[in-house]
Amino acid sequence: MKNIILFIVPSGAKKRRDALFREIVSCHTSNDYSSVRYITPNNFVITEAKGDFYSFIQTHNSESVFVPFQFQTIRQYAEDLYESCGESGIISDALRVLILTDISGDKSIGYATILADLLKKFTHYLPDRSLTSLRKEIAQLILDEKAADRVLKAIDILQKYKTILESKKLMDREEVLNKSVAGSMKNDISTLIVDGFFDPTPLELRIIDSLMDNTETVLILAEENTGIVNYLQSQQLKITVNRIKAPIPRESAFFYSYPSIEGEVEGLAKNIKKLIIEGTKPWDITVCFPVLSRYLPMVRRTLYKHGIPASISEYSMSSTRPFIALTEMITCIEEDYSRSDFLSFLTSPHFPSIPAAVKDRAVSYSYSAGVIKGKDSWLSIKDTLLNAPRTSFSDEDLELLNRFQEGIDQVVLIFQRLKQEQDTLSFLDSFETALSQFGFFESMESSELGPQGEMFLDKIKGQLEEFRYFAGLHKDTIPHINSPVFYLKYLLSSLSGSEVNRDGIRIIPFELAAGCETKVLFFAGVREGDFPSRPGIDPILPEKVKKELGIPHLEFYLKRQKRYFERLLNVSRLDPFISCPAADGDKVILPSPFLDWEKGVTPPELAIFTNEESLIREGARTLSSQALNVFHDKNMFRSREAFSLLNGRIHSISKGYFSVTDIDFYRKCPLRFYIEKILGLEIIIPPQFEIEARLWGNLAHKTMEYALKDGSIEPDDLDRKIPEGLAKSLKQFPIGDFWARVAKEIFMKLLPAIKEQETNIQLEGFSPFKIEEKISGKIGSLQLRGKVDRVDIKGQGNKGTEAQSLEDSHSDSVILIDYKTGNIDRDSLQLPLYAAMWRESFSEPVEKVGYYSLKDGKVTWYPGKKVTIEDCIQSAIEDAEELYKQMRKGVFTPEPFKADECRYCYHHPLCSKES
Amino acid sequence: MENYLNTDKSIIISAPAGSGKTEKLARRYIALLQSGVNVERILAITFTDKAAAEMKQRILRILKAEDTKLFTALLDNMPLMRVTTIHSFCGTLLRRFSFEASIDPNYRIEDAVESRMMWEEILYEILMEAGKGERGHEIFFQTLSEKGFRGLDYLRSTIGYLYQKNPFSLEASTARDISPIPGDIIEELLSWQGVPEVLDNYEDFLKSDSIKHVASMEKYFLTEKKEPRKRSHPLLKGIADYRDWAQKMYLVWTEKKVRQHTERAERIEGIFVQCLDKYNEKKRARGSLDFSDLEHLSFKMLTEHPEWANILYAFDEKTDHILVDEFQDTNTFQWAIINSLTEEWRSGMGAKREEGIKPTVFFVGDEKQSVYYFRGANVEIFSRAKDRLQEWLGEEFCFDEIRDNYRSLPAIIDFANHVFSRIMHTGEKPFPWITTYTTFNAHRSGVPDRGHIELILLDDDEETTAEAREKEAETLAQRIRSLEGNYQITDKQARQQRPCRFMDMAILLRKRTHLKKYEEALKKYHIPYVAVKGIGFYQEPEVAMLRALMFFLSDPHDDYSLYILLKSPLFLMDESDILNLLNSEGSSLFEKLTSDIHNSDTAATLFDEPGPVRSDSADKLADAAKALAAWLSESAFASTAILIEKVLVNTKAWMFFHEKQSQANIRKFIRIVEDLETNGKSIIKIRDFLERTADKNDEAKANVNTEGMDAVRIMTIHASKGLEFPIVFAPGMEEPFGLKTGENLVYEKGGRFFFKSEPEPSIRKLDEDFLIHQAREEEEQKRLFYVLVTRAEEALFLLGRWSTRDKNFLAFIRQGTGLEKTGDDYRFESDIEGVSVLTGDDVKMLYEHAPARSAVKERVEPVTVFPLTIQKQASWKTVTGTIEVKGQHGKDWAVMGDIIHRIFEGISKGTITEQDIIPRAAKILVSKGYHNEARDEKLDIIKQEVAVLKDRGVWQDIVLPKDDSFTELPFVLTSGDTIYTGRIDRMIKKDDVYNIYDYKTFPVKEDEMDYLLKKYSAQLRIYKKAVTKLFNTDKVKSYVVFTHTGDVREA
Ligand code: SF4
Repeated sequence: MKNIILFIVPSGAKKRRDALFREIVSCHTSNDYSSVRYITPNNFVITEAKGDFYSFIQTHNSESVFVPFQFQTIRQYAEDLYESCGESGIISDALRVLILTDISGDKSIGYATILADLLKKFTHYLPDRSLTSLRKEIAQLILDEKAADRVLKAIDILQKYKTILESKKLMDREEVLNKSVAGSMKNDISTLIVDGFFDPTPLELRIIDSLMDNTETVLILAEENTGIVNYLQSQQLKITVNRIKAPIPRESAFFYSYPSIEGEVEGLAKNIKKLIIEGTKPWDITVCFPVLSRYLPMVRRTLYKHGIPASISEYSMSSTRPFIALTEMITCIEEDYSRSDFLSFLTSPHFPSIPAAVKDRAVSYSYSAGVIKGKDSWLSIKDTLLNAPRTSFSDEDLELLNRFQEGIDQVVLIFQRLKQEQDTLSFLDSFETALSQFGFFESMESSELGPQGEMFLDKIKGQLEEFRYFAGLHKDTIPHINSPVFYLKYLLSSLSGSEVNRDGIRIIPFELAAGCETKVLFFAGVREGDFPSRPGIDPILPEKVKKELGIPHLEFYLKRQKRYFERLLNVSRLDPFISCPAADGDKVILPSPFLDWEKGVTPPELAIFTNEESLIREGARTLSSQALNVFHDKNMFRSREAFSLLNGRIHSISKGYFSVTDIDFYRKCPLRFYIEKILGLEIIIPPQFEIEARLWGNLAHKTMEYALKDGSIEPDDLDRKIPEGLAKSLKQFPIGDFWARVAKEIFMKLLPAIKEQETNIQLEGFSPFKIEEKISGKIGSLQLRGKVDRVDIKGQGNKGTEAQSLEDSHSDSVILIDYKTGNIDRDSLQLPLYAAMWRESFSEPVEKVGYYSLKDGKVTWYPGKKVTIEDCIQSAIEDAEELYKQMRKGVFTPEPFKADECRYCYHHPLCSKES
Repeated sequence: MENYLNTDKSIIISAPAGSGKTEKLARRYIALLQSGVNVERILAITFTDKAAAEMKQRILRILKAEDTKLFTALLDNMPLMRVTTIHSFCGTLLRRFSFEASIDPNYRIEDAVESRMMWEEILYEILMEAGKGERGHEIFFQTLSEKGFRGLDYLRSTIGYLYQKNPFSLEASTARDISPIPGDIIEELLSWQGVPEVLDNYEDFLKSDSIKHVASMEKYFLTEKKEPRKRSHPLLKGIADYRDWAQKMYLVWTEKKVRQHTERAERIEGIFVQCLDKYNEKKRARGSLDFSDLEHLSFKMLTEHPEWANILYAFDEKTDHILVDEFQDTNTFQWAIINSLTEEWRSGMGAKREEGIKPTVFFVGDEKQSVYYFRGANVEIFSRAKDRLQEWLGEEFCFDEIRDNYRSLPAIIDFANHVFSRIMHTGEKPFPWITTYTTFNAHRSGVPDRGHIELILLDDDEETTAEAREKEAETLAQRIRSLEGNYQITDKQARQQRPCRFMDMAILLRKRTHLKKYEEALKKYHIPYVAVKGIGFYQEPEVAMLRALMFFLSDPHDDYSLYILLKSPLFLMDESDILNLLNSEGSSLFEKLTSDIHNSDTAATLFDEPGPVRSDSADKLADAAKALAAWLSESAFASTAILIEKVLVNTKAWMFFHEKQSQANIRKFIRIVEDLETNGKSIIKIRDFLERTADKNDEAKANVNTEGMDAVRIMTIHASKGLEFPIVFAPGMEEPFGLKTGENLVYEKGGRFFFKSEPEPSIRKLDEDFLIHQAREEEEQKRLFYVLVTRAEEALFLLGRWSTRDKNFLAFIRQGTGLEKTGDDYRFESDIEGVSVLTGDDVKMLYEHAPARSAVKERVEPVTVFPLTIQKQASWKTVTGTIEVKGQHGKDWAVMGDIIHRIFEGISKGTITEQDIIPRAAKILVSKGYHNEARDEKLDIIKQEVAVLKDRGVWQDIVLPKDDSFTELPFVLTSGDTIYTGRIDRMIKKDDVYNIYDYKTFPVKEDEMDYLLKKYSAQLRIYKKAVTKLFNTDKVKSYVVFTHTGDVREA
């Protein structure tokens, strides 16, 4: 005679399993319980039950050793059973999705995921319906042809999937469950315990049923009004019912309404800390959220701040560092060495075997070289840097650069090999080899990762195995429609992990929390939209068809969440802490409709503080709010020592002679000058395009220099000389064919304007005299130096520059010209100061000075009509002297000469200037 | 019954500011529910998520108070409630139609920065391809070279402009409206007396189609500003009728230019389309969409798939009633979507009517508050929709114009009526985009006052704009000071008069340009304030500091970032420390800093004990070096968000960020980093993100919870939309609108979008499309002014510098009130009760004479942090020897171990026979990914092992089934504080002795055995202990079985 005892336990009952354990222990004479099979829906219940049984034995039998039950989740049971007798291989859920992707011929995963889910539902809820019969029924249920088409197509794919699996002797995990209904494991099980099921699916019920059939004694622990109890009661079985007394159920609870999400999590942590301080054991505290992933990072961080340890069950591994590193590596294989992907890979600590020089310099070198993407840009970093205008390398730097480039070359080589692998299996082989070459597996064992590293390694390796399995699977049946990288990425992204800390509070999904035993429960983030949540939109099967067929549909999910909520209200011994934020940033958040909105209360201020709060208060008490404006401090240099350091710097920049451009720079904005010149700090700006404005400038300058070098002033010659000059400068700054063509075209378009300009200059009687002329001189109290782009002289005919002698040209006047490719600054001191210096060294009077725009070939001449060149020079000298004085005094205020200056400056955050 | 509650009719309500528009929408929704409509059949579209949430809240509140039954029913069905923004509505629609739209049904939305990055990368790729001479490179070549050295810049900015304007969403094209110059003009010019002889290339210029000689010819007939010259060019002194000639030449020139620019725009469009294709391809590969795709693809769906309605029907997703809030801000697209959704109903043959359902629409808005033209809102739609509905629905439609205002006091309403009925249109519209004005009536009750409008006009001294703004800001602050605590307002809750507080006041700005100036003035006058939705988040010093930290972590050689860190409150270094540092050895600042710190010094103690890094210790530099090195090594593995928290605490930098805004900014920054990390971004990628945002000015500062805070609110007029304040201040009345257009323009005409690029301002000035665009912008400024004025409940203060210029708010006031200045006096055309004018001096006097009020400063108490001591549970330990196998012998042996254990277990238990061994092992191997040779190789090993074991008798004595034996015997053993669990591979009781066998399956050499036995002794000791207790015996022996060799050793 079969003996079935049903223990009906309400949620919140203390030591709810004890009655069941008592029953078991009473019918066992020894402490060997190995003949008891304990079936649960998930591992969480196993862990709880194990712990409970241990405590029970400790208190009731005081045995120090025993042979425990055979714990199994229903899935483990089915799989073990299947493995012991079944023929086919079992494939994971992730593989199912991939196979479906291939069958459906879809380039995205989303559709296959939905298909997999549909199949799962069919198997669980309609375990004995064949796809063919379902197909027929559904076709009748949907009237619209287009809409019906979708489902029928989907079922066709599923059918194909099944056929393929069969032909390959494979089975997915749902099918394994299904198969296990008929079988039974040959062993000496005398007692079956079923625990933790609320609403088992029809398939699960059948498994339980078949298990019960095969066991003498069956003990079931369940809650009133759950699917399992209803089922048992509906069967014609003789069942002894053992009701455990229920505490009075809580019907609705008040909830804390926090002003923000941060506030809510902070409140959660403070309440937990308070409880722990008051003596509650951390592991007696359970925390859950309707959507855990939304909160998890913030919860982790906040708990850390309060020093509260936690155990987290099930989180997606995709945001963990090793996973990120792997993904970046995969992206590099997939794409063309995009800068940030490749840099992420190169600098990741999870690839320790990448040469140190690469790790150390990858960011700065690639930025300076203007790498955006592409293998070739990486392979030519060294050349690019060596060719770049205005850079110099010390021997040490050069050595480092060499090592860097070698390292990059090696890495790229490995990648190129990987990229060439088309076949999935050989790709995987090379991929694994590459991972070990880069030291990835090794890094998992590094101490920083602790036990997590081991878990990662296991999971990742496991997934690679899966992939191998998949790769070997169906070469002949269904061709892989995507690249190996595509599948690999998906497999890795489907990984989840857990962080176990038995001494910490438990953070678990709310579905699990609803069935747990706990002293304190926190249910946070109970907001509208999240709880109850709507399942994702199903583009295949309409809701009403689902309802008709008897598979879960919207209503089903909503009701289920409501039941979970009712359980959660009662599951803890103390009143649960339920909370909801009122806003996230400026997003308004409403409480869940399950909550009684009238019962939202403002949480009390708890006298639990973090170091952060204590510091903030201390700051508020002792510091003014202005403390941050370090640069507004007019006295940046207070001590004598500071001044001498400053002057040392100024001296080392000027090396005796101060550059005119520096004076001008200082004039534009003293602070900017200080940062960029005195301190020599450069902002690394992400390169956008290889042909940067700077390069154009150099090219244009050089071209003009070459074209006018021999002093020719015959404008018609320019038709030949400009292209020649350009060709020469292109050799100096190689920019590739296309850009060279562009450059040529630009000059050709510019040529008429240049010719016109040159004709004008010629008409005024001037001809090129000196090019790129370095000049210096003592101007007032200043020693200045500079370089004039071009000096033209009047009256010397068309002799070349070389032929000129300064002696015999004393009576002729000159003009000084500066080329510009950017905007012209009319207030610049540059040319007037050049004129002043010229005057110091040479006898020719300066007639005028001008900025020659290479954008349009126009020259802006100085002085204008109202002042003389003399006035112009004089006032420039005075300005320069004053500026220099200020500089030496250490005045580096953020006061730009023109507000416009700030528009093209990156230092706003430092000087608080608006841009 | 009020019209808007009549659920049989479709309705458009024009509801001016303060007329309770949101309430009406909520009531309409409820009326529908009450008439028996299912909640899922109603679609209510709001402008923002916030508005959606508020709408739901309001509906529930009303129901709770008035209809409990419906309230409970609605609560149960809340997940079915469709009160959403148009974007999320489109998002849902697209998931439903993912097949038709060929998108991943689980698509995700790329965030703005990311899609921008993707876009830029694509342009780069395409350029590089062009550089290699690949497809369409000629277009690039022309585009790049024609603008000289600015070509690349121009290309990038124009493509960027198009991307931002998103015209592809409506398949834009360039406007080709070039009319050829009549042949006779050319003829006339060709034979113009005196010209052909003087000007080189003249004939060529006129006859050729190209732009040849254009540049060199311009000077003869154009001024600098590119307008026709009036004074003749020296070379052409003698010609007849110079002006006429120049004018005609100008026409030819214009035509040539327009042609050139149109061709250029077409090229740009071509490049743009190339980029777009690639962009869409990339998104498809990633399974993602960008934000603008939502509307665009939905629109395409609804227009290109006629069967959509049937499909929705089949999915039981019918919409019978559509409600739209803020209808005036609808763009052409959104209207097209709404229009499509209702098309089926209107056709009259709709299935709905047969079912007896009368679908309705309900649009509520206020044309006068349409202020999102710059973002694509199209104010024309309001009247267009009205006409259409009238035409389609006839009797079943009605248009309501509400004329009651429940918000503002009479003076404000009078002022508004006065001004806006003059500056806006009142009759028929000359253009559909012109705003019309209907006066409204004051209905606010229970306030004794009439309200107050004050114009504060400062002298138009010769100052720079910046100086003028500073002066104005100061006057503003003085006025606030003089009002606070003195001016009486009516408390809405208490319904009685009380002196106003800071929290009753708001400063509304047209633009944020001078925000800082106002903030500074408020600070100076000790006026508490909060900048609501203030922008410039990334420019805040604390954010810049944290960004520098992230940069530093991603590249310690980033000197600039390190400098910021050293100067920041993290280290507070002096300039001299830094100058000193520069003189040290090393190629980067960080190297210089760490050059004499030994690695061993950089122990992570910095993190373990919170304490000052920034100590007063003599060696500040060394301390900093250690801290930085520790952060770097920590950041390699741990969460960056947590690291930032640590840094702020350990350096005590938090002390410096005690102001609410700074605190909130820091928290916002940490969240941004945390979210990026959660989305799988590496530090480098986070850095990339921060780089893109560094000069992004429009990111809002962190939200500070202002509820109950006694502070003046500062915000833009746009941000104030939907809000109301007892007292409103608006400075900058004379600030010019700055409606200048750039050379690129995307504009809408007849529901289609066009792109024009015209670099010549003189041509733009005459171009109809540019002109209309400008006029529409000016029209929008009127509406913005309307929004501003109608925010005020009781008093409105308008500040500015006197000016008689056009195109500013003051000009509107002048035009609306006839305000004039004669000498020092201001005069209105007619008296408007409650309106007065004050000068800067007046305000100063008021301020000086206002009763002094001292600010009460909140006292801050220090707090103590309780440390937490954590108890430990008894720990569970699993006793096993398998884990190390993997480490020491590789994965293969771990798998083999598993297989051998499983097979031996089966044999011992009798569940498998010897014949089963190989097939079983093969199956497991395959499931572990071993195929063909790899699998066979392993099988051979197994065969060999079994043979060896048989040979040595182990098989018979230990493995085969036995009486009095156990296989895989699990146990739980308590010993001290530890609970051990384990499984004993095999136990055989023989002659009263309990023999424990533990299988070791990996290959082992003879000389390793002793060492191994020692290593496993702990494990076996526990096994022994368990067996001793379990079977209550002291006769226990334990053995290790090396399955590879067949050795059995006691241990
Ligand atoms: S933003 Fe302006 S003030 Fe600040 S450093 Fe740059 S140029 Fe100077």
